[in-house]
Amino acid sequence: MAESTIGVRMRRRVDAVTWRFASFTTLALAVLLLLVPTFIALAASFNGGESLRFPPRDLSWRWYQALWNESDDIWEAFAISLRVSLLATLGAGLMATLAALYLSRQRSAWARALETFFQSPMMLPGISLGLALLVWLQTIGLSLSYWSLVIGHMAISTPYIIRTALIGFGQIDPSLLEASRSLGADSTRTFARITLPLAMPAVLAGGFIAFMFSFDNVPISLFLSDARSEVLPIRLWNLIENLLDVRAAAVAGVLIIFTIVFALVMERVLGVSRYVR
Amino acid sequence: MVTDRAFLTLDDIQVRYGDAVAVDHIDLGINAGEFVALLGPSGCGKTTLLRVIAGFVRANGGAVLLDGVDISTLTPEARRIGMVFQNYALFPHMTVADNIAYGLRSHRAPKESITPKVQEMLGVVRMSGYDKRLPRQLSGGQQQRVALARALAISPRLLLLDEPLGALDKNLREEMQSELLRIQRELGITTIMVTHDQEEAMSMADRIAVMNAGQVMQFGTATEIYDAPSTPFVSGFVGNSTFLNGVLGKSDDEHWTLRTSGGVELRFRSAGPCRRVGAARIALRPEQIELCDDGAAAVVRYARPMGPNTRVGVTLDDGTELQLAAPRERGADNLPAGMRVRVRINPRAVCPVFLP
Amino acid sequence: MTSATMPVPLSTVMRKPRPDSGLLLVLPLLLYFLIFVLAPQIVLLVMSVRGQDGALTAANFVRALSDPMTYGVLFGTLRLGAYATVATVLAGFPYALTMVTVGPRLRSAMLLLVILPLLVSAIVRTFGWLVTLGNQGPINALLLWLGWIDHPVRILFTESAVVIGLTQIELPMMVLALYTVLSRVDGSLALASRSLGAGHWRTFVQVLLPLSVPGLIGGSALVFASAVGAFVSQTILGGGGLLYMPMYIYQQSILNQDWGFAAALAVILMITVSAIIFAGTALARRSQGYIHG
Repeated sequence: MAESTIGVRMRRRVDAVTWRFASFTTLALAVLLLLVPTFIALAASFNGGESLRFPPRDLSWRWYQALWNESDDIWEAFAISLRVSLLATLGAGLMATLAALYLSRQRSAWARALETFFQSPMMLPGISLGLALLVWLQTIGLSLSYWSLVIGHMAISTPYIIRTALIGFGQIDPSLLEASRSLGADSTRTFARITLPLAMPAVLAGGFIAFMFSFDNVPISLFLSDARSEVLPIRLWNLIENLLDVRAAAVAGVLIIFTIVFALVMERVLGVSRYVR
Repeated sequence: MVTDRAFLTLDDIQVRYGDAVAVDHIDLGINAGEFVALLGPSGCGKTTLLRVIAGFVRANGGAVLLDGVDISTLTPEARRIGMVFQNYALFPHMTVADNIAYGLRSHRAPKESITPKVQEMLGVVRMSGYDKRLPRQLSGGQQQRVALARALAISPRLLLLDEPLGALDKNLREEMQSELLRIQRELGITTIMVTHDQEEAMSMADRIAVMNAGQVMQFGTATEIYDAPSTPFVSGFVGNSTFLNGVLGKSDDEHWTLRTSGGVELRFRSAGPCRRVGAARIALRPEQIELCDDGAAAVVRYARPMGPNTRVGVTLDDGTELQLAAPRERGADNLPAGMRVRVRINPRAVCPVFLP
Repeated sequence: MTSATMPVPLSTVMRKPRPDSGLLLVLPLLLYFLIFVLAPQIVLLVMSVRGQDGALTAANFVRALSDPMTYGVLFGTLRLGAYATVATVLAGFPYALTMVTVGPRLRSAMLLLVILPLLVSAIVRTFGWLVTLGNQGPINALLLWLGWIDHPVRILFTESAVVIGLTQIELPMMVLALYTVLSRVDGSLALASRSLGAGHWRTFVQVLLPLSVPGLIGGSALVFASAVGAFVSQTILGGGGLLYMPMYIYQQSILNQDWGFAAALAVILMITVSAIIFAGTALARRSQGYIHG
C-alpha cells in the first residue's frame, strides 16, 4: 500500500532538513570547541588588568613586556625544555629510525610485537610511566638530574617517530633498492643515497610530532626533574595554579603563535598530515 | 648446448622455494653480443632465472659463469651487470642526469668523466637535453629510455631486461623494440630479455629460450622455434597451433601422411622430431592449411576477416575442427557457413611431428 | 663488450645468508626499552606487592580496592573517561563525516584544524578553558548578557568542566580514527543507499554507522585511555575539590611518600588502561574482518 506522494515528499523534506540541521550544528559545535579556547587564551593575554577575563579590557602589551623583561625563571624553563626535548628527539630519532629500517622489512609476528612494544609509551598513562621510571632510577642508583629527564623523554618520543618511520620505509619500492645494487652500490651506499633520503620526510615528520609532545609533557617531567631543571609546562602550571599570574596568558599566547607557525611550516615542507593516520 | 665459447654460462641452475621448484636444472650458454629472450608464461621461472644472473636470487645449486669466471657468489653490486626493471625503478628524488650518473659514482669513476658519459648516454637513447628533469615529469617511454641509459652508463658486461616493454601501448612498444635493438647492435652488448610476448621475442632476439615450469623447453632461433618446435608446449605457445592425433605413415621421400581416427588423411612434410611410423601427433598452423580443389572434404563454419588474413573455420568430415588463415585477396571473406570445400596442408609447409 | 673502461669494484663479498646482521639495527632501541621501559614496570610491580617489612603482600591492592575514598577516585576517573569518550564521539562523528564528503582543499584545512590542537601544549589549551569557563569568561558573559542568569554560574572546577576540556583535547584523536575508517568506505555505498530511497538518517544508521564501527571502537579505546591519564586537564580544570587517579598517584608517591600504595595505584591504572586498549583494538580488528570479510 503506497504512501501518498505528498506524504513521501514531505517525509523526505523533513529528513533532509533535520539531517542538515543536525550535521551543521554539531559541526559548528566541534569547530567552536577546537578553536574557541585557544583564541580566548590569546585574547586574554592582552588584558590590561590583573585578572584573566574575556573580553579583555584595556588592551595592552604589558604582560608580553613582563614576559620579555622580568621573567628569567620562565626563560630558563623554556631553555631547559628546549634542550631536553631536542636531545630526547634526536636520541630517540636515531634509535627509532634504525629499528624501523629493520622492522619495516620483516613480516614475522615478532616484528609486529616489537613494533607494539616500541609504541606502548604512547598508549599508557604517563603517570604510571613516570613513577615507574623514578623508582627504577632510584633502584639503580641514578640520581635525578637533567639527564633523567632526557631518558624519560626519549622513551615517550620513540612511538611517534617509529610510527612515521615505519610508514616511510615501508613505502619505498624494493625495486629501487635492487636497481641501486645493480648499479654497483653496496648496502651502505644504497641506504645512504636511496633509502634514507626517500624516508627522510616521514622520519622528520615523526620527529616534529615527537618534539611537540615531548615539549608539552607534564607527567614524566613531574617525576623525573630535580629542583634545578624545571621544564616550561611545569613552570607554566605553577604560574597558573599558584599565582594566577597573567604572565601565564602571555606565555600561552607565545606558545600558541609559535606552534601554529611551526606546524604550518612543517606542513608545507614535509606534509606532516600525511603521516598522522 | 654449453660450449667453451659461451660468454655467459648457466650450469645446472636450481632454485627452490620450500617445496616449490622455480628453476629446474637449467643449462644455458649465451654468446657474446647475442640478444637472447627468455620466453614463457607467468610462473615459468624466467624472471627467477634473470634474477639469479643478476645476483638477487641465490641458486640452490649450479653455477653462473661470466666470461669464464664463476660469479655465483658475487653480490649484485660486484657483478657489473646492467638491469632495466619492469617499472623502470628510476630514483624519484634524483634528476635524470643524477640517475644516470648514479652507477658511475657508485663505481667511483673519475669525476671529470661523469658528465661527458652522462651526455653520451643521453645521446644514445635520444634523450639529450632532459638532464635536469625529474622522473615524474617523464612519460613511460621516456622513463624507459632513461632506465636503459642508466644501466648502460656503467659499461656493463651484460644487459638484463625484465619485461621492459610491458607497460607501453602497442605503437610505443614497437617503436621501443626497434630502438632497443638498434642500441644493442650499436654497442654490441650481450643482452637477455624476459618476456611473455612471443611476437616481441621473435622480432628482437637472436635466440629464444622457451621456458615452462622451470625448464628450458627449447633454445633456438625464432625460425627454429616456430618451424621446428621440439615439444608440443613450444609449438602451442609460439603462434597458433592445432594438434591432430593419428597414425603416421610415409608417403614418399619428402612427404608423410597422418590418418586420423575418423579416416581423414593429410599429407605434409615433417619437421620432426618424431620420424617413425605409428601413433603420432602433428601441429598445424593456420597459415599452413589452404583451400584447394582436391583434398580433405570439409564444411565451412565461419569466415572472419582479421587484419591481413581471413580466418576460416572448417570442420572435416570426421569432426575435426581446423582453422586456416587465407590471405584476403583470395576472396575467402565471402565463404558462407555451410558451404562445402576441400582443404589440404600446403605442400611446401613443414609440420612438427610429436609422439602422441 | 668485454673491455673494462672502469675498475671493477672489489666488494666481492661471499654471500652467506646472514639473517642476524639486521638485528643489530634494532638492538639499541631494544636495549633502551628493556632497561628504561620494561624494567621500571617490573620494579613498580614488585614495589606494589612489597609490604613495609619487605615481604610479599597484597595489602596495597586490597587497600586500593576496598578503601572507599580510593575506590571513589578510581571509579570517578573511569566515569570521566566514559563521559569524555561519548562526548568526543558525538562531536567527532559529524566532523569526520564532513571531512570525507568535502573536496580536497577543504579537507586539508579541516585536517590541519584538527591536528593543530594536538600540537599546542595541553597546558595552554587547558588554560584557555580556564579563562573561557571562568566567572569572568565569555560563557558567563554571554549568559549574563542573554539574561538567563543574574550572577556568574560556577562552571569551573566541576566535573563538567573537566569533561568539556577533555573533549576538546581528545577530539582530534577520535576524528582521525573515524576519518581513517570512513575514508576507506566505498563512497558508492552511500550513493547506492540513497538511490534505493533511503533518507540521510537511514543511510547513516544502517550503512555508515556499522561500517565505521572499527574506527569507532579503536578511537574510543584511545580516547578513553588518554582521558583517564590526562593529568593536566583533570587537575587544572577540576581544581582542588576533584581528585582523579593521576593526581592521586602523584600525591601518594611524592607528597605522602607511600611508595608501595602509589605503586599499586599506578599498576591498577596501567592494567585498566592496557586492558581497555587491548580489548578495544582487538575488537576493532575483529569487527573490521567481520564487516569486510
